[in-house]
Order: sequence, then C-alpha cells, then structure tokens
Amino acid sequence: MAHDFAPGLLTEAIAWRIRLRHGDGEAWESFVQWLEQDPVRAEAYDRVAAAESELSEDALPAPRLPANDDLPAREPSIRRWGAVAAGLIAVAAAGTVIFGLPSRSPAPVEFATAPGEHRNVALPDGTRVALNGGTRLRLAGDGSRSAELVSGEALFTVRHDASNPFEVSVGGRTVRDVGTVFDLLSDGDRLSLEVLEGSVVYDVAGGGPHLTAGQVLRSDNRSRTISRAEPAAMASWRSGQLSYDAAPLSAVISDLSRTTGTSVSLDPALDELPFTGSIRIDTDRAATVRRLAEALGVTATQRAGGWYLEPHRRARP
Amino acid sequence: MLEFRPELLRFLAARRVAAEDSEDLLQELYLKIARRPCGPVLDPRAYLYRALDHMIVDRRRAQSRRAARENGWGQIESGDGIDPGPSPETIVAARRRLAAVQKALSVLPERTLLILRRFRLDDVGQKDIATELGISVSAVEKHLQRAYRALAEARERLDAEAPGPCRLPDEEGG
Repeated sequence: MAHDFAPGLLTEAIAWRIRLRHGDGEAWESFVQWLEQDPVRAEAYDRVAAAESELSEDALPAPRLPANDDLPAREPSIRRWGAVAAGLIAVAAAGTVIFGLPSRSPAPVEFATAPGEHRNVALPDGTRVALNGGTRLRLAGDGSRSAELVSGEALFTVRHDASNPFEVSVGGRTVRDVGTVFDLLSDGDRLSLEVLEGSVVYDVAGGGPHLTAGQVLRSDNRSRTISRAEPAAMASWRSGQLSYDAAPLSAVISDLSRTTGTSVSLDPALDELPFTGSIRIDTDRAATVRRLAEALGVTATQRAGGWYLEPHRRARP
Repeated sequence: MLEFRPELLRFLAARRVAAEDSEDLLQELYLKIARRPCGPVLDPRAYLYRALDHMIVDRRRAQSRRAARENGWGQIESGDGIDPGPSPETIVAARRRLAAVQKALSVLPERTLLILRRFRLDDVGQKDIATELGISVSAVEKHLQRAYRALAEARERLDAEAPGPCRLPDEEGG
C-alpha cells in the first residue's frame, strides 16, 4: 500500500471527491480523464472515498447550532410547548431542545411538531431524537427509557444500555433498541422502520424480527416486508430528500406534506401509482411540487390550502 | 442508459475495476434503474456515475472488512433476511473505527465540523453552505479539504494498526 502519495495528490483526490458529490456529467467525465493520467490517482481517490465512508452522525460532535435542519428554523410555538415547559431544563437558541425530567415526574410529556417543522430533542440518558414535521412523540415521565410514536416520523440515536433498553411503542407494537440509530415512521396503518446502525427488535411482544443495520421493515394492513437499503439513504428527510422504492404515491404525498409543511393532496386515481426515486426538498416548495409533478407526468395545480395533483386532462390511449 | 455504456466502462477501468467485475456492476446498475419506473432524475448521466461510484466504494469497503475478519476477526456470515445481529467482534471493530474518527475530528474547529456535517450528512451543496454561513465557496472547500484530510489520516492510522492474525491482546497496552 502506498502510504506516501506525491505531495498534493491527496489534496487533488479530496477535491475531486468533494466536487463529484454534487457534480454533473461533465465533472465525472473530467474526473475520468484525470484518473487515466496516472494509476496512482485511482488509489488516492479510493483512499479518500474509504475514509469518507467512515464518517457517521456519531463520529461528529453534536452541533451547537441546529445544523441538521435543512429547512429554515421556525420560532418555537409557545402554545404547543406550554405543557412541555415544566420538563425542560434548557431550550437552545434555535433548535435542539435538551429535555430533562425531574427525577420523579409521573406525567408523560409530549413533543409535537407542525408539518414542516423539524426539531431535535435530547433526552437525559443521552439519546437523541430528531422529529420530522407533523409528528407527535410521547415520552414516559417516570424516567423509564420508553417513548411512544403517536404519529409521524422520528430518527432515534439511542444511547445503548443493555440492562435497560430503550423502547418505542408504535401502533400497539414495541421496538426495542440493541444499540442503535433507527428511523421510525407511523402514518395511519403504514409503518416503516429503518435501521441505520446497530440493531433493533420489532414487535417485542410478538417475538418479532431482529433487524440490523441496512434493513428496512415496512408494514401496512396488508403486508409486512423486510428489505435492504443503504443506511446512508435512510432517514433521508433529515437531509432534505425523500427516497422511495416502489412506494404508492399516496404515501409519498403524505410524507412530503409532513416534511415540508406544504399541503399536497392527490386525485384518488393516483393513490396507488408506484413511485421510485428521490424528491429533493427545495426551500422553494412550489418548485419541489412542480418538479415532482413533472417527473410523474401529472398536473399540479395550486389551490387554496395547498397543491393538488391529478392526471393530465387529455385523452389517454 | 445503453448510450452511456462505453463511458461507464471507461470509468470503471479508470477506477481499477477488473473487466469481469465491471460487467457485474453494470448489470447491478441496470437492475437498479429498471426498478425505478418513474423516479425523477435531473441529470441521468451524473446519476449513473454516482451510483456506480457508490457501488465501487461499497464493494471495496466490504472486501476490506472481510479481509480484516479473516485476519482473526471471526464472524458468522448470514444471508439476507433476518440476521442474528452483528457479532461482538464486528461491534468491537466498528467501535474502534468510530473512536479513531471521533478522535481525528475532535481537533478540528467547530466551523469546519459544521461545514462537514452540512455537506456530508445533510447533503447540502457547497454553494448553499457558503450562502448559509456568509462565506465564499472556496472557503467552504478549504474547510472540507481540512476535514477530509483528517478523515484520511485517521483511516491511515487505523490501517497501520489493524490487528493481524498473530497479534496477541497483551501486545497492545505495552
């Protein structure tokens, strides 16, 4: 292994890696030309890419600023938070809420976000929860490590304690962490559980499956499937992106509305249209909806209270 | 997609992927594409490159971990579906890697870490980060250079001290 590249080669390789992340086709073409000039360049690039892949949420110290809110931060809604205030020991300037319970506080505490509002919550045990918009999360007030996802979506980064596992109940079932980062979504009868790191047990009471990093469980009232996905692509709402593999459009629209706060509704004819791909959530919400409609080949119209998607009004063969 | 085949093969060769593996990877890529009936892709050409690049990095990472396990980090392989969970050795190795990365990043300025987070974890482009922070794009790139260099150095140190098959536990603390 060449540990000592020529001076500057590592810098160049890093510059390429950085440029290509959002690079266009031409950038890739120039990259190939660069690689071809000297085989050691590919080796340097591999090294940089491998090093980059070691980076995870856990490796970075928690940001002092809410850096992970892709959407503009909103003022905390005092009304909604009124009930919670008693349990708070500190509210950071614009994002992460440090949540601390008095040693005995029997009442459960509920966190709620409006559609489009993203919020981070730090629990006293070191567990961090990032709430997507339109989400309600209830925490046991008795100091036990348990929570209930009433509705919506949240990313849990759990401080593991084998003797006292963290549990989240959702739709009457319990998810138990085994040292984990996982994303949980509950939307009507639709449930999705993505394991980014570590492992969890789903449906503890039912002796349910043990899922490890890279696995996704999806269930609705018809079926339950377990599939694989790239952990980097999971909980993608956090990075302003929603990704799907053959999901019904109705589910996509529900996620989009929750994540952005822009209400989007659907002609029933489109409910079951399968959608695969990613939606980049632009700060320009109208552009996000229009791009999606364009990609789907449907018509988007703005109406009072939000967007409406429907099939093109023209004779179909 | 077929129209890009020659240039993708050229890319794979430039990334030092063996010819037989190249076919394999392209096949995998075609399947991925075929499974997305109506997904929006703004720049299909860049998408294909990026997807391939990702697959190469993934494969190489899996290979190097397998090699590390064979060097004394025992692990029971299991197929897709429901795993028995990661083995203790895998967990230990992962913790060790995490600790090394944490240590390397801990010496970086907070702003550099924030920019790294925005870019790599939140997937925000350099221009947008520059706007957010009110600095120039080239300043953003400098921060990223520094962060990536720290990651590369951490990785180098890890590789240098990777446990070999003959290493005994009591050789470590010495």
